[in-house]
Amino acid sequence: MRKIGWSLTVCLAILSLVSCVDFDGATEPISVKYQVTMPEGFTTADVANKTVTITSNAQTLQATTDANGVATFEDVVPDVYDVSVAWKMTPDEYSQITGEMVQNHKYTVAGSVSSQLLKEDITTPLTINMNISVDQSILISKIYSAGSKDSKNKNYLAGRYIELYNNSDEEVDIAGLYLGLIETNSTPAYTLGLVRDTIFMKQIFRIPTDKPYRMAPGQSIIITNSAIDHTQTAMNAFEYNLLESDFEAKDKQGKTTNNPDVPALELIYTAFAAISNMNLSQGGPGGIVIFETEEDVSTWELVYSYGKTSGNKWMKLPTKYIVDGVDVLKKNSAQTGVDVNLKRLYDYIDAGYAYINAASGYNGEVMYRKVLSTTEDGRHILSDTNNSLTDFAISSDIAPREFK
Amino acid sequence: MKKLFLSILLVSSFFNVMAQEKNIVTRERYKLMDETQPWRMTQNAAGMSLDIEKFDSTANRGIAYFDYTHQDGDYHRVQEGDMVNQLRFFTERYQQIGKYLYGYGSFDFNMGRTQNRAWSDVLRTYNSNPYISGSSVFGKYDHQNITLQAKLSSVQLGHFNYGVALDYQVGDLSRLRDPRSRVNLADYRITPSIVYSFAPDPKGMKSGLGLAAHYDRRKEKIPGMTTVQTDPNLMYYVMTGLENASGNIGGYNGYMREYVNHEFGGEASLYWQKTEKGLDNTVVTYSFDRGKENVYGTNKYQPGVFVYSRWGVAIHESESTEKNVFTSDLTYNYTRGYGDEYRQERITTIDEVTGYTSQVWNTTFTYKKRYQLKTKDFRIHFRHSRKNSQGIHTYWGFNYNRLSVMNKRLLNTSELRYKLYEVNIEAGKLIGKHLWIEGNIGKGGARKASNATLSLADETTAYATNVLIPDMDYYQAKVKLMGHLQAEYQHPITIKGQTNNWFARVYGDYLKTNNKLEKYQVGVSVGVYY
Repeated sequence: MRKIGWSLTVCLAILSLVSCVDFDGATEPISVKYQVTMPEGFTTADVANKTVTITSNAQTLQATTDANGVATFEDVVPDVYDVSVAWKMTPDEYSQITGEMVQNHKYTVAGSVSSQLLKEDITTPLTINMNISVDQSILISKIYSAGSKDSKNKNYLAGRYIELYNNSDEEVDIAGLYLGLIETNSTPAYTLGLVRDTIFMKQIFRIPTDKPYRMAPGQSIIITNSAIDHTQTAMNAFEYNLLESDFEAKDKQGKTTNNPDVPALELIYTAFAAISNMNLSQGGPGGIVIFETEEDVSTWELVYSYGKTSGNKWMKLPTKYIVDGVDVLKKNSAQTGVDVNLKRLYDYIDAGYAYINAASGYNGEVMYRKVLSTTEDGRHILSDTNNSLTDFAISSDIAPREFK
Repeated sequence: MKKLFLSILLVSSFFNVMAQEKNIVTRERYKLMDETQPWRMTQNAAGMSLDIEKFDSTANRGIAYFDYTHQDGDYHRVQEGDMVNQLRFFTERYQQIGKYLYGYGSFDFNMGRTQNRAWSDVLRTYNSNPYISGSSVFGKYDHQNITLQAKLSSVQLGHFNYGVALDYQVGDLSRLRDPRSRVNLADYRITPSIVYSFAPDPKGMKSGLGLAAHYDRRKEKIPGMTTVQTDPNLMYYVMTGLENASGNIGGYNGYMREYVNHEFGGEASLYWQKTEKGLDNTVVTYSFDRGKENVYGTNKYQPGVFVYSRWGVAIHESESTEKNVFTSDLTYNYTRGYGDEYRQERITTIDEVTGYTSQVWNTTFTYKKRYQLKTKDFRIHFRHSRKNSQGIHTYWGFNYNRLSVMNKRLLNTSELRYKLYEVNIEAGKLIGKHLWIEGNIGKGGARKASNATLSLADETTAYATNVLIPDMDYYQAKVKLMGHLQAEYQHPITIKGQTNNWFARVYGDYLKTNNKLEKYQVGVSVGVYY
């Protein structure tokens, strides 16, 4: 028994040494400050009471700017954040600040920072450089590229479409408006910025110019590969009747059912000889732009991917012609998420990105632009901050021409 | 690796071939030797020969059996599944080798199927590496495991006994429903050891010091997943601790995960032994292990790393007189671990000349000790056995176990704490010459419901609502009754001139809680003592 007692004493002594648990040095939350900075000529603008939003995979936080335009966030989990702030400026406010007489346009004051690593306390505010842009009339309001599974669980891609929307309060003629699909290689043909103010297109289409195609305020148009009633062919909850589509990208190979009553979308360029309709990418990437130009687009330069001398050729598109663009990226495994290094659009076109939840598509999800407000006469004004992370949401039960 | 595997297999089976003694090994004798050999419960193989009273063939013994069990019930956690059917083959042998060596070998193979398991596609779901993964769809899982162990111990040479142990385990866990994961395991450990014995004191008490050190390498891999159907909405989840689980549709495509663990550890021991008027054996051990487990994904993506330390204290005592054996065991293990979580970005570079694309993952930030783990496991066992010249024929005893666990994740803070205990009394008796009846009865679970608490930063996540919150029924349940009963009939059978004691055993377990959860297990074994 003596030795047992001695043993226990030794054991307890040892235990007492090791019972001091130490998890010191664990990462703690931080505080962050952001300074809203107006561009030159607009420094007298009121930057107080603006909502700054920081978003990571895990959390979204909002803070309101003080009189100096500084927003302070407390208890922020260190992470990579997308930062955005936006508000509308009336023509009167614009004139007051600049002293200039301007047309009766509304303006969006927006600023964003993408993929910023916040890892320690920020005492000197980080800067959000604001841009002021005229509110665009025509916006990309929906991208349905995912496709779905039909009632027999087979891939169904025919019912995909792109929807454009007139976000202004004036009628707009979209004849001659170009629709471009950005190249969708697994890695970008050219890393963003390698060729300044240029993006690379795999396909370009054009609204016909045979006559005016006028969009009333709040009107939307549907551009599809197959303007038929997909509820009868797919027989699932994700596909809709597209008989009333406005334009159809015709399939010259005859693999997709086309509707002769729907006007053809003109094919200006395709990188794939065997594909004449819209080559939308089911899971992403698959950015879309609409642009206007007086130039002959068919004569624009074609290039191979960077460092290559063979393969597909991409058409170079100067960003100065772009009216609106949505950068669509692929969402990989849940933990790695979206790789923002694969963005194809500059921040001044789309500071964020849109995506669907399924890495391979076929889940019926639609990327749609959210409603910002509704006028008294029921016309929706869609969100347009030039940041798809803010402007877009995902739904698998939103219909063409439906808004929420 | 193949050579190592074959070597261990050969060493293990070598002992089995040597069973040619005239003395038949019975359960009574097996129990007696189990009760009077405390060194076999330590990491120190060198001490095995100190357990032996007489270094001759009487020290040899072994057992081999097939066992089939069926387990069912609703007292289980979500990720454990409910019904389990398992077939097992186990054999071990203690064997004198020549004049100077005493060896031990074992081979354990089990295979089985678990029903209705989900949310975990790894072998160690609980109180371990938090970076696991799984599907929310319940399905069947098949498992197969092979464990080999070989130990060698020398007789006392001068003041020293030398020893070495080799452990090797391979395993496989296959999910039989989309997404179909398959986990492969390879785990090996080498443990050299030594014991220094002082000269006996005037009263004949021997004592000494022991030291064992080990290196363990464990690799668990999910090389990829397959699907039979093409469900476009099938999600796959990756976890980072407690309720934090990110689900992605199609996330199983191209998914792979590898857990590579390196562990170093050691055990220091003190022993006292007296052989006057019986055998009186006491071994006190203090152990410390330290391990680090790296986690790798596709293209060497790393969600984080798990680091742990484990301290252990144990006292094993066996006191044997002419008619009685008293054994007591006390063990305490304390584990502390933490997980550093990485935030990584993929860097893509395109070669200017060739156009080739390279991708590497760069760690931009490390959340230090974001996941924290503590476990305390205390066990005490006492048994009084009655013996005669054949061995132990009757025994009674009691057991008390207590487990305390904390899982915590910071930023934002979530915590799970629970305490479970078990207390039972046991008894067994040999009836006549052939029939053993044994059993135990007790209670356990949570002493009170408030001993288990769950505090989550976000209670709405899929993992919280489907796993953590339902598991609280398990952690808060009071086990009103738990019992085990078994009957074993043994009989010598001669086959080709070789007589061994064959046995058939049937057993059952039952458990019932205060919240109507219950679990039962029935099984049958057929085997031989040799």
